Amino acid sequence: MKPHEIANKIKSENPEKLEMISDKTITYLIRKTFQEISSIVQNTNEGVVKIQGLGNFNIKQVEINKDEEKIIVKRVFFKPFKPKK
Amino acid sequence: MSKCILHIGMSKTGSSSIQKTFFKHSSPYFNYKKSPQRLRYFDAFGQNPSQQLRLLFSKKPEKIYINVRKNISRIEADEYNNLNRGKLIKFLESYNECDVLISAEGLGGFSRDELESFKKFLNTYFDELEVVGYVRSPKSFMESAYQQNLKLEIDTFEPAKLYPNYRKRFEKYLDVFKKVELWEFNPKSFKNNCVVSDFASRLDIDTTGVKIKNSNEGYSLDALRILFAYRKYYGRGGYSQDVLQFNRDLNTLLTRIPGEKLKFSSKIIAPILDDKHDDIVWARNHLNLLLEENIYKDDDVGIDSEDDLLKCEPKAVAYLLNEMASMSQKVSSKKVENTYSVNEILYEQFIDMFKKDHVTSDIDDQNIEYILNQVFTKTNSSLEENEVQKIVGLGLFKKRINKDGSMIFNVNPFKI
Repeated sequence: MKPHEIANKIKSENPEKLEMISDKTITYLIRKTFQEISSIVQNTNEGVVKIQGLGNFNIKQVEINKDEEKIIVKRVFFKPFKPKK
Repeated sequence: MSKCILHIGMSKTGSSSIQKTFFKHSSPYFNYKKSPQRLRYFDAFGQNPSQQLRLLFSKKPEKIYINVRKNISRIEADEYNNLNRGKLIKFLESYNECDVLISAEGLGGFSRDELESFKKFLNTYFDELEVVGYVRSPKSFMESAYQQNLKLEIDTFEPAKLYPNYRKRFEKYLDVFKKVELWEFNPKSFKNNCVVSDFASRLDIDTTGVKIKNSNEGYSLDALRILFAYRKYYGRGGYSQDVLQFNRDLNTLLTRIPGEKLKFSSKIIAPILDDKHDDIVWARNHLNLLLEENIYKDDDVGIDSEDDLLKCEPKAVAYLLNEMASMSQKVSSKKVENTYSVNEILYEQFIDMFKKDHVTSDIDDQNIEYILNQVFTKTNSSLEENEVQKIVGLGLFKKRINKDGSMIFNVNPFKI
């Protein structure tokens, strides 16, 4: 899924609300948001990155065997935010 | 026949509540009670179009404070204006059948020439132009403006600088526009003490089903005393993320301190009104308003000097220190676990980021929040529907179902 596809979806669902903001600007905003999240996740070695409205990225250092050698690798798990019903 | 209603404030007369209510209504269209014509709220620049309109019709946009602060060149200012001119024209061409309400209290800074060119521009789209606004009496205006300015960043005690200068503010509107209707800002006389209801009723706008939003709920005097001491002895502290976060936390704590609002005593107000006597007489004669207020009514509680404002209430200080200590404990407990961090990113932080970005700085906070909310909802729905999903810019997500049936994703994050 690409940022411009998400932008088109959002705009088509509520054209009146966002009619004065161009598709290009919404796409830019989405791209920047994803970039910011990716950058925070990348810069976290271990812990939780909670993004309001999106969910939690759980970042762990995991020991694995590679070529008969134990190495530590970073694993990222994501749990989506569930809105309260 | 379509009409443009230009709401010019003045500031500190409930403009933000009016704008928020009209902007946040589920539909941008409103009905009149006695006319079949519809009214559309001007939302091309978000909730409050003051800044964009001010820059757009300014002869020297690069000299306007906001651009000077951001060190914007004439070429950059023109580019920004061209973009906004396009949005404005597109809006006015799209909705030329209905009346339009433009609420922009920040247009007071227009020169007469700039106001003429704004009027000329509007005249090409509308059959009728009507300027409306509230006028607040000087003492209560200065009290409200002082606390607003202190919240923003001033660190001085100079109430005289906040005198509203009625003639400078309104004379050009009376000269340029044929129809100008100004009302005295007197909340006690408003229906339900509500400025939004009063505004709508004066313009015959039907507010059935409209949810009234209130903005700019002020601090108590005890909170303002602490804020003034902080601003005076520490300053604003810059614009880094840490400082912005601290100011937000401080704001939250200060709004919880109860008590009476700031009032100035006659010792402060009387000399200012003496000095501005001619301006007040002009306002009474030309705006047909009384603008009367008893400047002595708050003398027993009113602030009469800078030293007086610095007398912080010990109970309020103790409350704030206690709250701040628990705040810093939370921060330090995060720091102890050096390798394991918990980082919570709220919508506000994204909004701050986009406000500083020249591409998105003019998008209203509510619209940014709306877009983020939609983006995150759509992203999560798409993840739930697919076993493997690549979200460009974010990463590759592989779905896994836990024993308890909950969903979790292994993520291969996008490399920056």
